[in-house]
Amino acid sequence: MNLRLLKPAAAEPPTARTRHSGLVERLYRDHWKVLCGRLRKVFGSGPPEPEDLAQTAFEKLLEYTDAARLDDPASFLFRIAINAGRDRRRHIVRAKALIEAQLAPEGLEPVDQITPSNVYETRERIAVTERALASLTPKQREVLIRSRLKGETFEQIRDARGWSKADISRTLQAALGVLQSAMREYAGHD
Amino acid sequence: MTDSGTSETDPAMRPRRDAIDAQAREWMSCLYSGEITERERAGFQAWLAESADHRAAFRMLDDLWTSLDRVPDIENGWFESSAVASNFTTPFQGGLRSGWRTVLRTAAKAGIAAGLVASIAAIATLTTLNLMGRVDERQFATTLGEVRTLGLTDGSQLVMRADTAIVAGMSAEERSVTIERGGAYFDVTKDEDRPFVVSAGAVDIRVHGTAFDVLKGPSSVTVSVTHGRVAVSEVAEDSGAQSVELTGGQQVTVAADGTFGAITEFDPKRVLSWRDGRLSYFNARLEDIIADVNRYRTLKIGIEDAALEDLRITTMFRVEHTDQMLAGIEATEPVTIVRSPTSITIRRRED
Repeated sequence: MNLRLLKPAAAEPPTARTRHSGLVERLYRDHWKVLCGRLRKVFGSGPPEPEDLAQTAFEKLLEYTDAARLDDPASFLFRIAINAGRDRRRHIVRAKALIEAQLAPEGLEPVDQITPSNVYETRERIAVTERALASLTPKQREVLIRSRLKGETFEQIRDARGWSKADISRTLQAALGVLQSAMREYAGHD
Repeated sequence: MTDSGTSETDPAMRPRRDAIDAQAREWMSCLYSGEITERERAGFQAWLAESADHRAAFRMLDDLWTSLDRVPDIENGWFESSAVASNFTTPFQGGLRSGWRTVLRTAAKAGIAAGLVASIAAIATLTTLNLMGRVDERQFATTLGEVRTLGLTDGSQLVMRADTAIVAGMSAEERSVTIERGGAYFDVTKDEDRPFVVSAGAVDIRVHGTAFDVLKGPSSVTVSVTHGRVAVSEVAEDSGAQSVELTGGQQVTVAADGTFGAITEFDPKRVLSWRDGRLSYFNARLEDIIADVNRYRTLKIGIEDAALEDLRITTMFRVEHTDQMLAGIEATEPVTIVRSPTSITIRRRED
C-alpha cells in the first residue's frame, strides 16, 4: 500500500503556515458545529466530551499541511475525533496494540492509522459497507456502534441495555458477519 | 491446520473460508470485549500464526472494522439518551468563537500553531453567529427504519418509532410532546407540579409520571399504558370533551373524529416489540399494519380497495422481513400482491 504520511506544519515557511491556518479556520467554521453534533450522537455529553474530542481533531488538523488536499475533511475530522475518544479506553488501546503487533510484521498498515491514503481509499468499499449496515437489525447496529465507535466494553453495553454479555458477543459477531459477506460478495469471491 | 495459502476464489474451499471468517469474528469480538485474558491473547496470536488464511481473514475483518467510521452518517440510527438530552438543552455549547480560541491556545501550547495566534482577532470577527440562544422547543424526526431513543432534560425518555416526527417542549409549567407523524414509547419521570402532555391527532394524553406507548395511525390514535395512570382526552373546545383514564395493561384507540373505542387489555411484549425490530399484531386492521410497515420501506405498500383496509390480521415479523409478511398475507387472505418497479399494491383477489 502506498502510504503518504502527512507532513508536520512546523516544517513549512511562514507564508505557507498562514495559508494553512486560514484553511483550518475555514474548516473550523464550516465543520465545528456539525462535528460536535455527530460526536454527541456517539458519546452523548461525555465523557469524553464531544467538544473536547472536536478540539483534539482540529488540533491534529493544525499539525498537517496537507489539509487542503483532503477531499472529505468532515469525514477526516470525525475519524480523528472518534479514534481520540476510543483511545481513552484502555481495552481499546490494548486490543489495537495487540492487533498491530501481530499484523505489522507482514508490513501491513498500522491499525486505525488515519492517513490521506485511507481518506482517499476507494469509495465503493465504503458504499458496500454502508449498504450492509442498512440491512442490520437495530440491535446489531447499536451493538456495533457502541463497540466500534464508542469503544464500550461488553460490560458497559450490558449495563446500558440489559443484554447479556454472551448475547452482545453473538450480536456483534452476527453484525460483522453481514459486513464480511457483503465485502466478500463485492470482492467477487461469492 | 497448515499454512496452506488457500485460493480465495476456489468454490470448493468456501466452507473452510466461511469457517475461518467466523473464527475471525470470534477473535474480533473477544479482543474488543474488554475482558480478554492473557490466555486468550496467546490463543489469538497462535491462531494468526497458524495459517496465512487466518491472517488474511482477520486482516480483511480488521479493515472493515477500521473503515466503519468512514461510513457517512454511521452515528445515525442509534441515539443514546444522554446524547440527545445534551442536544436538547445546549446544542452548541461554548460557541464557535471560544472553541476556536481554545483550539489555538492548546495548539500554541503544544508549539503547533506558532505564528497563528495573531490571527485570533480576525477569526473572531468572522465567527459572530449567535448560537447561544435558549432552546425551549425542538423538532425531532426519525427516518425510514430508524428507531431512536431520546432523553429529555427532566429525566423522561422516549423511544421514537421509525418515520416519526415530534415536537418536544419544556417550560416551568409543562412538558409537552406533539406527535406529528408516527409514534413513540414514553417513560415519563414523575413531576406532580409539571404535567407531561402528549398531543396526537384528536387526543391529548396527560400524565405526571408513567410509561405508555402512543401510535398515530392513518385514521386513529392508540394509547397503550404499561404502568401508572394516564388520562386520554379528546381535543375539544367545549366542556363536553370525552376523557378516559387508563391504568397499566390497558389500551384505547381513538378515531380521527374523536370517537373513543372500548378500553381493552393488551400484551405489552407484543405492542412494544417494535423497539426490538419486530412488529406484532393481534386482530389489527390491515391499514394500520401497512402504515407501520411503510415506516421501514422506501418502496411503499398501498391498499387499492378501501374495504380491505379493515381486514383483520394477526401476524408477527421482523422489520427486515416485510416482504415475507406480504407473502403470508397473500397466502392466507383474499388478496393478491401486485408489484411494479415503483409500487406494491394489495388488491382484492378475484376468484
